[in-house]
Amino acid sequence: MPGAAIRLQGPRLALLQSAALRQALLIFTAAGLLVLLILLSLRTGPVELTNAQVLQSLWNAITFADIQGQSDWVVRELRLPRTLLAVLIGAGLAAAGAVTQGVFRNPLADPGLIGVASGAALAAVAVIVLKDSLLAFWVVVMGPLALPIAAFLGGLAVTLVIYRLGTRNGQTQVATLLLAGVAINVLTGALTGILTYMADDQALRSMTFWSMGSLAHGRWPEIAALSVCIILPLCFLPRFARLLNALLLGEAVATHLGYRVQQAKLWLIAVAALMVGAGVAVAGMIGFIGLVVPHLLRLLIGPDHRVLLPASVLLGASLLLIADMIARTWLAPADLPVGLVMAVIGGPVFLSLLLQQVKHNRG
Amino acid sequence: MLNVKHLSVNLGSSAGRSSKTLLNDINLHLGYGEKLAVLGANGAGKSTLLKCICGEFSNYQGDIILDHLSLKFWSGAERARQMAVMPQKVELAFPFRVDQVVALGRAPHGDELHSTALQRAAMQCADVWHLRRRNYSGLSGGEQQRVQLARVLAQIWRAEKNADGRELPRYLLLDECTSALDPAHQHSIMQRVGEFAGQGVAVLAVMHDISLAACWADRVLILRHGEVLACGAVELLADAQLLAEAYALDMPLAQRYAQQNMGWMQA
Amino acid sequence: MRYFIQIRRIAVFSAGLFSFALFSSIVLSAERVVSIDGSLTEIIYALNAQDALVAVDTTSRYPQAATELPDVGYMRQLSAEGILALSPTLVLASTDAGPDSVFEQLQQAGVKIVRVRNHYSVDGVLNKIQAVADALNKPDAGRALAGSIKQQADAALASIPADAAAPAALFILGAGNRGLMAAGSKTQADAMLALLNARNVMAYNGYKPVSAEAVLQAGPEVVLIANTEAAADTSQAQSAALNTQLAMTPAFRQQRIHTLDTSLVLGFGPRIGSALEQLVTLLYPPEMQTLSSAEQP
Repeated sequence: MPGAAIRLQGPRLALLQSAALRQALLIFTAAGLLVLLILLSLRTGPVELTNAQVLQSLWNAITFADIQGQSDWVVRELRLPRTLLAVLIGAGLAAAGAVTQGVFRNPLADPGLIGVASGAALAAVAVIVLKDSLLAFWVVVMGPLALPIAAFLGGLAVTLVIYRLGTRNGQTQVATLLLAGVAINVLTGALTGILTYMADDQALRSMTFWSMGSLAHGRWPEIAALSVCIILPLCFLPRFARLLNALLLGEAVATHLGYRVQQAKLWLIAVAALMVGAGVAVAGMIGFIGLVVPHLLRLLIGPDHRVLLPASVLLGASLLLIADMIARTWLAPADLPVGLVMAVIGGPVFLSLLLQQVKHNRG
Repeated sequence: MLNVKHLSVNLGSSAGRSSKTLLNDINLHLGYGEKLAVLGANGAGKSTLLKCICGEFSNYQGDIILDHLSLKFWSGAERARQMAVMPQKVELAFPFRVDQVVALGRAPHGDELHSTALQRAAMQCADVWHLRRRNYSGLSGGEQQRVQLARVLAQIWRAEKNADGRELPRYLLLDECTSALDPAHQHSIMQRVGEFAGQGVAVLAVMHDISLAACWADRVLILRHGEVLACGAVELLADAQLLAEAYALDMPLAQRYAQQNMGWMQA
Repeated sequence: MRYFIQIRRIAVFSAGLFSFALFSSIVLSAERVVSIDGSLTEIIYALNAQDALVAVDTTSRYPQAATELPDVGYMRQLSAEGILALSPTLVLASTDAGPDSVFEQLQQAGVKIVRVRNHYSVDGVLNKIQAVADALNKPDAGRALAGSIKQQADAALASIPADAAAPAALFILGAGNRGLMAAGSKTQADAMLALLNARNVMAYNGYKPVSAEAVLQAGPEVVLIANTEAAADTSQAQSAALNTQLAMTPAFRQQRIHTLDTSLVLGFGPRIGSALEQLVTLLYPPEMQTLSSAEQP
C-alpha cells in the first residue's frame, strides 16, 4: 500500500521514523560491531601477524586461492574456522534463547530448561564412556561424527519427551512443561553422573573438553554441517516474529489474532532444539548466551521480536567471539574452555541486570 | 451474520466416563449491527460459548456459521481479520508499551506501520491515547482493560473488502470487558462499543452486570446450566420470574433487580 | 543292593569333603594380592608372580591377562568393601591411589597394605620393583629384574648421541578428537622427556588443552601422541584430525609425528627400558644425524 504512509500526519510520521530509526541504528551498530570483532578475532593469536597479512589471507579465503605459507595457513585454517564457529554458535544460542523465552512467556526459560543441553550432554558422555562396550557399533557406523550426531539426537529426544509430558490434548501447559523439564534434567544429570563415575582417566579428560565447551575443534566439515543447522532455522525465524509478539499477550489472544498457536509452538521448540543441539554437538556446553543476550536486548530495545531476533543473532555472535578471544589469549599457550569464560562473564552480567531491574521496579 | 446451531460441549469426551456437559443444544442468531448480551450465573456456560465462537475451542458438536460458512472452514487468519475478541484479563510476559500492544491488533492485517492513524483513533475511542508511551504492565487493571479494548477495536476498525469490493462483515466478542472499570468508563466504553455496532458490526458481549446489559443491549441470551433459559429482546430483563430462575435469586430481590433494569432501559 | 548304594553315597560324600578341605588349605596358604596401579601390576607379571594376583584396578591394562581379572574400580575412587569382598591378604598400591580412608579401613580389617611411591625416573622404577618383590617375598627375583632393566635403560640412554641438540618435543594425550591435550611440566610425560634430554615445548603445569596456533608458535620438532590400546581402532580418523591441526609445524613437515602406547611410555613400569629404546630412536633418528634437512616446500 504505497498510499498508506502519506495518510500519516507530520509529527507522528517523525515519531514513527525515529523509533524505527533507532531500531535500524541499533541493528547496524550491532552488525558493524560484529564485523569489527570478526576482523579482531582473525588478528588475535599467539602467532604475530600484521593487518595486511590478515586482510590478504581473508581475500585469499574469499577467492579460494591456494594456501600460501604459514601466516596464510594460520588465518585460514586455524583462526577463520574458529571465528566462524563462534559466530554461528553464538548466533544460534542467542536466537534459540529469544525463541524459548518468547514461546514460554518466561524470561528465565533457557534452551537448557527444555532439556536440549542436558540431553545432548548425556548422549555425548554415553558415547565417550561406552564407546568400547555398549555403543561400539555406533562408533563404528558413524565414525568421527559419532559424538556430534549422538549429542544432537540426545538433545532432540529429551526435548520431545519433555514437550510430550507438558502437553495434554494438544494444549501445552507451560508450568507443567517447565516442571517436567526440571525433573527430566535432574534425571539426565544423574545418568550423566553415573557414566562419569564409570569413566577412566582418558574418558574423563574427553568429557572435560566437552562439558566446559570449546571452539578449538571446529574444522570445515563441522562448520558446513553447523551452517545448515543454524542458518536455515535463522532464515525461517522472521516469519514467526509477529506470532511471538502476539504470544506475549497469551496463547488465547494469539489464537484470536488468527495464529495457529499449537503448531507454531511445536515448530519453534524444534527449531530452538536444532540450533542448540547442533551447537552443543560441535562445541560442547556453552551456557548463558541464550539467557543473557535476549534479556539484555529487551532492556535496550523492548520485546518486539521483529527487532529482538536479528539483534539477538548479532549480539550473541559478538559475545561468543569476545569470550573465545579471551579463552585463547588469557592463559596462552593453554586454551581455556570457552564455556568457562562465558560463565565467568555471563554470571555477573546477568546478576547486575537482575539487580538493576529490581531497583527499577522499586523506584 | 452469526448463527449457532445445536451447539453442545461435553468435557471428558470419551463416552462412558463421567462426562460433564458444559453446553447443551444452544441456538443463537446474531445479525449485523446487533448488540447481544449473554447473561447467566457463574458456570452457566457463557465463557465456553464465547470460546467456541472465537475459535479457541473446537471440540464441540453442532455448528457455528459465520457469514454462511461454517467456522470449521475459516482459516485463523481470515477469521482474525473480521472477528476481534477481548478476553477478561490479559497479562504481558514482557514489557510492551501501550502503543505496541494496540499495534498488535493490526497483526492479522500486517499493516502495523501503515495504520497509525487508525490505531490512534482506536486509542482515543478507548480513552488511552494519553497512556500510549506508558509500559502496559505498569497500568491499573482498568487502564489495561481499556488498552485491550483499543487493541480489539483497532483489529476491526475498518471493514475489509473482498475481491469484488463487498465490505466483509465484522464481529466483536467481549468477555466481561468492563469488570475492572469505574462506572463512568463502563458506560462511556459500552457506548463506544454501541456506536461501533451502529456501523454494522455484530457485537456479542458476555456480561455479569445485569443493569449495564439492560441499558446497553438490543437482545439478551440467558444461559443456565449450559442451556438456553431465554433469548429475546432486552425487555426480558424486566421479568422478575426469569431473573429469579437464571440467578437462583429470592423473589423479592429478583423483583428489585427487575425494577432497576426497567429504569435502565427507559434511561 | 540298597545297602551298597548307601555306602557309595557315604564314600562320595567323604571324598568330596576331603577334596574341599585340601582345596581350601591350598588357597588359604597362598597370598591373595590386589594390585592398584598399572605399573605395579606389570611388575607383578614381570616377577612371574601373577598366580597370587586376584584383582587389579582400571589403570592396569597391560599385559592383556591383567584386564581379564576382576576390576576394583578406578585407583582414585576405591571402595573398601569391594576390595574386602575379594578377601585379599595383600594390597599393593601406589601412593597416588586413594582415598586414604579406604586403606585405613583395609588395614583395620587385617589386610596387609604396601604403598609404593611413584617416582618418575629409572631409579624410581627400580625402587618400585624392589618394593613389590620384597612385599611378595621374592627379593632375589626383584634384584635380577631390576638389574636387567637398569642395564637396558642405561644402554638406551647411552645411545643418545653426545653432540645432539635437545629436540623440541610436544607430548599429546590422545584424548579423542576434541582438541589437543598437551603435557606441561610436572607430568610423567615431562619426566620422560627430561630423562631423554629432550625439551618439552609446553611450560605450564599439568595437562592442559592447547590451541593449534599455540602449538605452531611453540614449533615442536617431534610430536608424540600417547594412545590407549582400546582407542587404537579410532586412531586413524583421529590422526587425520590431529594432522590438520598440526600441519605447518616442523614436526609435521619432517613427518615426525608418532603415536605411542600410553601404558608403555607413561607407565614407568618394567617396560621402561623398551620405552626408552623406542623413544631414543624417535627423538634421535639415525638419519637425522647424517641428512641435513628433508624439508619439503
